[in-house]
Amino acid sequence: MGFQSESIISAASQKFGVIDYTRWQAIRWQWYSYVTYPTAGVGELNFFGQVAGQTGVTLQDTNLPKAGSFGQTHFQLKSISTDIQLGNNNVDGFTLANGIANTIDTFALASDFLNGFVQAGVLEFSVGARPFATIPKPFQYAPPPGSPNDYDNSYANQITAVPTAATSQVVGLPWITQTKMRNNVYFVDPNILIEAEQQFNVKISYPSGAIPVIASGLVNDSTNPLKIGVIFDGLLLRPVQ
Amino acid sequence: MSPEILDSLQKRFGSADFSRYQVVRGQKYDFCRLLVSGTNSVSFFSNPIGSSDPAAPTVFKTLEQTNLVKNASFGQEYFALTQIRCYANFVPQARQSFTPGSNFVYRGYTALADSAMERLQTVLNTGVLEIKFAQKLYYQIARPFVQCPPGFGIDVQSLASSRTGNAGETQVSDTNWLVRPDNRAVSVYNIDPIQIIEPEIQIQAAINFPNGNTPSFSDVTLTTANSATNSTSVELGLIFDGYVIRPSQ
Repeated sequence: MGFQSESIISAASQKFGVIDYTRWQAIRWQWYSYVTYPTAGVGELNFFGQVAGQTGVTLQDTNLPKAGSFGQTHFQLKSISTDIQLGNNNVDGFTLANGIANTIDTFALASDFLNGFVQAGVLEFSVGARPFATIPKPFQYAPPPGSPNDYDNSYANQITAVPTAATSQVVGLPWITQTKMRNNVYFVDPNILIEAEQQFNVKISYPSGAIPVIASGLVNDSTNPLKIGVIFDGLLLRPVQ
Repeated sequence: MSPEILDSLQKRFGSADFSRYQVVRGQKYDFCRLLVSGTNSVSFFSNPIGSSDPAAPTVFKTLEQTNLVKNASFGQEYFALTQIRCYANFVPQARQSFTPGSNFVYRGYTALADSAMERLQTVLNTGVLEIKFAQKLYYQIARPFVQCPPGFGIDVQSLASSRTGNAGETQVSDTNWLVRPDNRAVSVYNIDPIQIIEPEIQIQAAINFPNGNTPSFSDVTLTTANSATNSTSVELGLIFDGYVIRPSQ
């Protein structure tokens, strides 16, 4: 059937189409995907597998137009980042825990940065079935492209008298983030071009064993979930309209 | 079969195109447990994924510890080495060999004199990294955790400390501390000119401690966890950052 030939479709597109495929524009763009890190820990978390509008998924979680691909646009990948977000990172809880023996670790997310899931894991990124990145300790090796919030405190808090046995004395408020240094971002050099509709897969896994959230007194899967994300930064290549 | 026939078959039916190569940024890494009783050497890239860690026979290596699939070589890929990074830290709390309890992070490692953190600092200030390719020495770097820091890590804006009234704890207010190698990417040990590691080249890499064994982390009084027997697990890591050069598919 001549009607289905590429030349006829091309001619029809040029005369009546809304897109000019002979001219392309490139804009800086970020594709991002956030999922909940369960307080009990998990063996594997997959990213870019859901789109906004699905149950419980909003534009703050992902801006992917189609599960597992960038849809009808090309993307030139320049950097890979991870991110850790907690809606209500209530550091005061650490101070309020003063006097509650044996539970101090559970009141600040900093515990997880020092000795929890941030110190482990591996990120795998593959296009088709071919691996393009395997990054150990990804929350450290591939920090976010933006700057985590600064937090200043006076180092003063509730200090009681000499603690009695089995009673904790707490000094200071812990505040730890992924690194803010832009030079530390994981640059994909040379860049990787991901073509339109190309299927890709991104996951962070803990094959040596799941690591539960230490700050379990602060993180709650339903009301204050810990969100971890993967951000692809680069150039979006799309035809001119 | 002659090489010509093999070459012809490969071109017609092979799954890889050896006439075109693809360059991708990548790492070759190996994280090994430090023997808790102390050791004078830790070898890297000698145990592939799936094998047990020599210093902890019950711990089997997964992709979290190494992406080495073959003993002492990077297999059928070229690797252009551009950076050497060394890592040392306590393994995550959930993977310690004892149950630390929920007040451990802010007092467990540092609350005692001659604590686990102090011993980790000793490890970080010592050692000689030696790397050989095909049994020929290419790198010999003293104090590798200082000279070749990991260049990644966390930003600590403020720490906190806590203690109980346990008389055995000598910690005073504001004495909780953290030792770690440099986390700035600009501080890593760059290889210039880059070093190409050909496929199947034998790799020997070790951090040796010629001035004496590393400190023991099996001291029962080392941490304040609610347990009588604590052997703090420490892992050392060696990361080659660079380019994987592989045939196109």
